[in-house]
Amino acid sequence: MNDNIKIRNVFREVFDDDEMIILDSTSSNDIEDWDSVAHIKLVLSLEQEFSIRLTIDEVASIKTVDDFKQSISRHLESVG
Amino acid sequence: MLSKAVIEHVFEQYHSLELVDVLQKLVIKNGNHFTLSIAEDFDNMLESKTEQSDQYIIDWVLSLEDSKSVLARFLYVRSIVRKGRGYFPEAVNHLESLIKSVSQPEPFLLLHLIRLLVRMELFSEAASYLKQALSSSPHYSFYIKSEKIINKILLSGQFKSRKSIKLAILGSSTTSFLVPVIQAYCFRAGIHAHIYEGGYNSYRQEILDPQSGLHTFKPDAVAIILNHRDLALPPMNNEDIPINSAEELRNLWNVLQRQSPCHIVQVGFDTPSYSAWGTLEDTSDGGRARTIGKINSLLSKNLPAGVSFLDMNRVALHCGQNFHSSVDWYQNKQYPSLEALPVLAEYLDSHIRAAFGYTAKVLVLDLDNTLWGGVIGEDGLSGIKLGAPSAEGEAYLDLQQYAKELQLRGILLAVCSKNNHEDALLPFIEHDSMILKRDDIILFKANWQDKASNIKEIAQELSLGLDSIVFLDDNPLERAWVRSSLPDVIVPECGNTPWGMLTSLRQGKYFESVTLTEEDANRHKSYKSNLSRKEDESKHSTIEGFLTGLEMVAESGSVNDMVLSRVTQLINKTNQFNLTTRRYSQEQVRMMSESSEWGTWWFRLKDKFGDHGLIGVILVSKKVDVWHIDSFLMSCRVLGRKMERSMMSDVIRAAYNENVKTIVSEYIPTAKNSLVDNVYIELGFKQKEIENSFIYHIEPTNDYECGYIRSNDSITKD
Repeated sequence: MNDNIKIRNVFREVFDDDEMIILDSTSSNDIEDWDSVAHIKLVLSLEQEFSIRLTIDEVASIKTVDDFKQSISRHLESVG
Repeated sequence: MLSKAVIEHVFEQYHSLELVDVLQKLVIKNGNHFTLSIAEDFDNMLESKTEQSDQYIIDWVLSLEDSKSVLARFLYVRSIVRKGRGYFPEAVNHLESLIKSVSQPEPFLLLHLIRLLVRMELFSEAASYLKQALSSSPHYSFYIKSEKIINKILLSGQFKSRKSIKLAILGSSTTSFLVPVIQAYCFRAGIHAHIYEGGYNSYRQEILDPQSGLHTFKPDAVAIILNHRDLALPPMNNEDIPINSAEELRNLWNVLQRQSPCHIVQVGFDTPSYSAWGTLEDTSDGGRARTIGKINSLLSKNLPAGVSFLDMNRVALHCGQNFHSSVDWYQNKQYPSLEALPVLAEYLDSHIRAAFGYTAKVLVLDLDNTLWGGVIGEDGLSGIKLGAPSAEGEAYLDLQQYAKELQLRGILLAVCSKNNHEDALLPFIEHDSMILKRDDIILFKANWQDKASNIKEIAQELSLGLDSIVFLDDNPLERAWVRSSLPDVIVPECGNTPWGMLTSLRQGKYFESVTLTEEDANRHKSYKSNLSRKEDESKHSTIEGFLTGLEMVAESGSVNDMVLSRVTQLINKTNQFNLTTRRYSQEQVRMMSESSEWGTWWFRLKDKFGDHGLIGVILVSKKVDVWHIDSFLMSCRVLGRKMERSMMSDVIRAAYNENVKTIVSEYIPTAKNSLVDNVYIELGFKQKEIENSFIYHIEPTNDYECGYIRSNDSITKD
């Protein structure tokens, strides 16, 4: 899926790590730099990348890469 | 125009050879009409195909190397970047030529190149592209993506910063998102900022507790960022609130500076956009909006030394609706909105530059299609557009008015135009609408030389560094040429309309100043008489005769509050005649002036042409028997007239009177002060034989004098 690659590339950009491996289960526990500030930076960059706006609830409950994927695809479906 | 939906459709519908065929057509047809985000989408699709080892696609992308289409070349570059490090140099070459082929490259496109350069550890090349990207004021998300890159460049040690400062950010709301933005703005200005973030909404504790993280950090500059919510104002208030709120903050400034001498940028309170009581909040004496206005005016009135006031309502005005975002506030306690942060950072950066003396001093202007519409050499006096009724003509007048107002504040104006000299002068002399007159222009270069050479001459004739020059020109080729041949000159990316040029000049805040001194207002006059002095100089046959003929009179005194801001300005601005280039904040200078362990001298010079104002400073650290000259600096305006000898004679005689045995001095070489590498020898000091260092000494006497300059002894050191 193309969206997976996009999400992975956003992670790589935000954490400035070209070889970063992202799995669906990857969470803030696995990435040292993924703190609350980095979380908002991920949200912002993904929102821009997909032209969507996540809700406050979603932002607060997202913990893993898969959570991001679910939220993003929900928004993309409701748009498309 | 290519859209995301089209690309997705194509990738879904077609496969293998057929897909290649359709993609080829798409790329040829839309190769120069696409947005970067579409190209990145396209690339993501190709990346996914590559990962599935789709050989047709892999081969096709590699075949795009020599394509004329910009899109195709972009896709090719991305594909070879994925092949790994060995391919980076080739990718860089392609990207560079691609970027040169578009007139205003998007900052995010530049970021692709910058990231590669950093991977290859070519940090200084990366830094210069990064500055270019930052100069187009990108969206907030750019700063998120460039944050780590900037840190890598700063850590590499290959970034030549003009200055490194310790900046603390205190706020009543979240400050973490501002950090990367202000870091980037400082980077753009050549300043390496070490940033300390105060605890969330604990600016009072940070300031009041002498053991706090803030005071341990020992900041050079502190920004205090508050907003209207901190005041918790009801629609109608009691009259004491403004005085009490302003008093509290002013008291905090005082405590902060006593503990840690630093420059303070106080961000004022914004007027909330909501108002339940409507206009009553503006018009009634205790109304909410009116109260905020009163607090701001109490805060910004009679600012103490070393404090500047940043009006948040200006930032709000600039951002409009985007200034506030409910999501950012409720979710992140971020105020103002993330989108407003680049504008706020731009203002903060301009205050920091001004406080530490990195303010531009000269505006160099092109003429045709910059100061007026049209080409004077072809269209003639009646053909150029200037003033009503032409809409453009009126806009050119506004640009001239802005330049004139800068000049009234001490910014020098110069002209650099490809023109016949007589043609270029014509509007200045004969066009009724011209606001700028020939007399406002300190140097007038209208010739057919290339502009970089002209600008270099302007810098030399004014004895100013290239980094104090801003060059405004409607022609992108001229801008690019000056930018590449004189990278220190500031060349705003200003478009080619009069309103575009005016906006970029205003937004850049290159000439920002946090204090206005008497010298600023008289600078134009002073440089002007200096230039005529230079002419006079060539008329006199001997230098001695010339110097005697100047009838120079020097005045000196010890530093006090009256001269504090000018002395600090000189300490921080002087690069060439500056033996040690040590920079001090206004607070630090004030503490020295009050200390018995320091001798602080200011110097002023007058001659028959006029008053140069306060042009020199010497700071001496006093020990029993020995004085160390900590700082010795002089404005370049008065070079070559033995003023340095007159200055030194005051210090030497003072030392003699206090029975000092030796005066020790040193010269610390920098990129800009080679001018003074021999000054101490010329002044009669003896060099100590220590390898690789320049330490000198002299024994005080009472007959050390400067032959050409009379000292005005009416003002003596107290």
